[in-house]
Amino acid sequence: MRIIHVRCAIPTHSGREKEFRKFTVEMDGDVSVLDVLDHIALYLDTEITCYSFCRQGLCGGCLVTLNGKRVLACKTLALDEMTIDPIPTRLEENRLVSSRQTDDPSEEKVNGQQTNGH
Amino acid sequence: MLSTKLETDVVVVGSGGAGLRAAIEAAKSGDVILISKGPFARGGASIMAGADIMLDGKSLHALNLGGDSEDSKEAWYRDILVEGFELNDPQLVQSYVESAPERVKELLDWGMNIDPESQYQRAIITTGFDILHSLRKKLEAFGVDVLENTMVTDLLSQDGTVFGVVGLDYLSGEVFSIHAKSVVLATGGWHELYAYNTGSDALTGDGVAMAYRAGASLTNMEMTTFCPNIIRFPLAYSGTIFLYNFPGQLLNNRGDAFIYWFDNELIKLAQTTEWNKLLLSYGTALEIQNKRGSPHDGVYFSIKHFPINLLEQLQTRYQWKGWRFQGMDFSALMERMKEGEAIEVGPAAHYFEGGIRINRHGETNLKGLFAAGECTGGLFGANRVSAATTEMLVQGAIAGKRAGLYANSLQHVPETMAIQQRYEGELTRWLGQKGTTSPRLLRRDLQRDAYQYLGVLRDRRGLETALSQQIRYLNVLNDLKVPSHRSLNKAWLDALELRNLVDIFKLVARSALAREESRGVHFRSDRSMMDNENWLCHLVAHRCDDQLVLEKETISGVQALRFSNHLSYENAIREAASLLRG
Repeated sequence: MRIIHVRCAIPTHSGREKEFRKFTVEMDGDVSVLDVLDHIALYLDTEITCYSFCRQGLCGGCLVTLNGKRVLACKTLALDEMTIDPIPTRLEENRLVSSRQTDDPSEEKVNGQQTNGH
Repeated sequence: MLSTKLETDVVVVGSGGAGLRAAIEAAKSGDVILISKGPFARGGASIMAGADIMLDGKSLHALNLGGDSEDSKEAWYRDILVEGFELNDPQLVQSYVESAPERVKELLDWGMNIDPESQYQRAIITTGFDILHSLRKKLEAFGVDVLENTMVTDLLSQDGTVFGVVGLDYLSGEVFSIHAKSVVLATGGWHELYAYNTGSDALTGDGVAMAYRAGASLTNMEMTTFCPNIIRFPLAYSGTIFLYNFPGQLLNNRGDAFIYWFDNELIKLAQTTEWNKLLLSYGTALEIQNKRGSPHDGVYFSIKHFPINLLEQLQTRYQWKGWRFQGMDFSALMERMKEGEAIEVGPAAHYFEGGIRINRHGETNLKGLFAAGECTGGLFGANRVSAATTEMLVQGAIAGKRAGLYANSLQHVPETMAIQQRYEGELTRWLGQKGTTSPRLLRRDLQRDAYQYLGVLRDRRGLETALSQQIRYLNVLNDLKVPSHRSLNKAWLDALELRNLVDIFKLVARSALAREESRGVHFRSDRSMMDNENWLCHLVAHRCDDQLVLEKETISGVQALRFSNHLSYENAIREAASLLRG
């Protein structure tokens, strides 16, 4: 078991400043950033929000900011001290996306780490 | 109630292989809006596929990519029926086998990457990523509108006709309706019903639940394939399929390689064929049930006796960079395994043979409603061994084409504000609900019950317990705690997904309880014989006056019975194996 200290932002609503909340969690074994966020959302604070899909670094859907860097939460191992913003700004826009504009900024990163496994 | 209203010819729900292929086809004859709950083309299971795409050996041989000139569509058709323990819908198998070569060839023409070194009798090797990439590129040429981060929650329907969808853009919190002449559901499976699954978090059976609520028929909802050797612990790697095809030993908590307690025939099937999913899940589940499992609900996987040099050859053969598999880096885990540590693994819900009932044109029993891919049922009967990638491509093309033709034949779309408002009300009723239960907690409890009672090994008592639990969930749905803000409200999305999972839970439990036999992936310890006299039939579910009605339906077009009438579960598998051999 290990102790992890997390500062986590909750989603901004109607132009408010982002609010950060502090959590201390005890986790067992190797855990990802997503595992920690799930644990907090499940047991400690239901307002903590992180979207997730494939959970294995393929879809780019769990992009978060961790200690200032944009990472995929599902494949990044948790650190003992973390400041997380689970909702990157890009997602806070709503638009009808034409399939011609596949402009996902995380796509390069995800593509770059594709390995053809069977 | 303010909402955005859009209009189009065809709505496609789901942007995996089936949805993309359907949209391509439908776009040839009209306007299409494609809706994706998660990241476009990547939110479901298709992106995670290994992958192999199957077609008959003779057609593959004609493409100069391996294959087998002695093989035939007829031989493959027969094999699929044997694999499915004859519970397949013959018409669906027919169109699957017929259209597979065409669907594979077009992907090659569209530039899809394959692994030319791998030569198989009936398969080409590529990845889910490559399939989707080719489909997306092709789709771009058609100018189809794509809505991302949008959950479709209900079908707009009246008097047996579907005329659109209602949904939620969960980033903005905007509710909308789309009036369409036809709808194609390509929403994939309901992996999230189960505590352990290999699917994406978005796979909550939305299409099946919506179709059920609108009055569509579903079939064989009791059939669920579990995939063995899915990592249970550490959490960081849990749910991944890395060790599925890995050479190693499965051990119980005493260190016994329990698979060797089965006879040679079953062992060989389990270790060398696609039957490994069914057999290893079954064997593993028995160990866990007999209290010989691991702390995290699994058994142990060990490579302790595997030679290091052969391990390195594996990396070369699979073209892995180090121990990076799909999007994850398993190096740390491999180090521990090389040092002799066994990793906890277990069966996880992987594929759903049942689903929305379709005919060979992709039509459901509701006018204007079509379906394709894993959300449909009947193709693979009681056990899928052949490729689901082929299913999504074949059925996607068929349903898309038919939906487009149907839309063109329609003069107008019924305009019913009252219905639209009712469904939008269904959607918003959770917003700001001041109950006491978090949707995530309810989901976790539901998933644990599903895994325990609707899992690999089932029995009457467990299924009856599950059904009484389901009634409790229905009540708790009215007591959820959901914040009231519209934008980025995940609890609201969780509640809407829960609504679907609670419906699916009942469909699976009731169907599994009704089918009083064991066949393929459906195993009942209290009814462990395969009973062809009473149960060689589809189990079709539909909603009537708010009640779930289940009916047995004879399978039309089934030829002479190949399996003996009453067989023990394991003998049925042995008989299937010998039928396949010869």
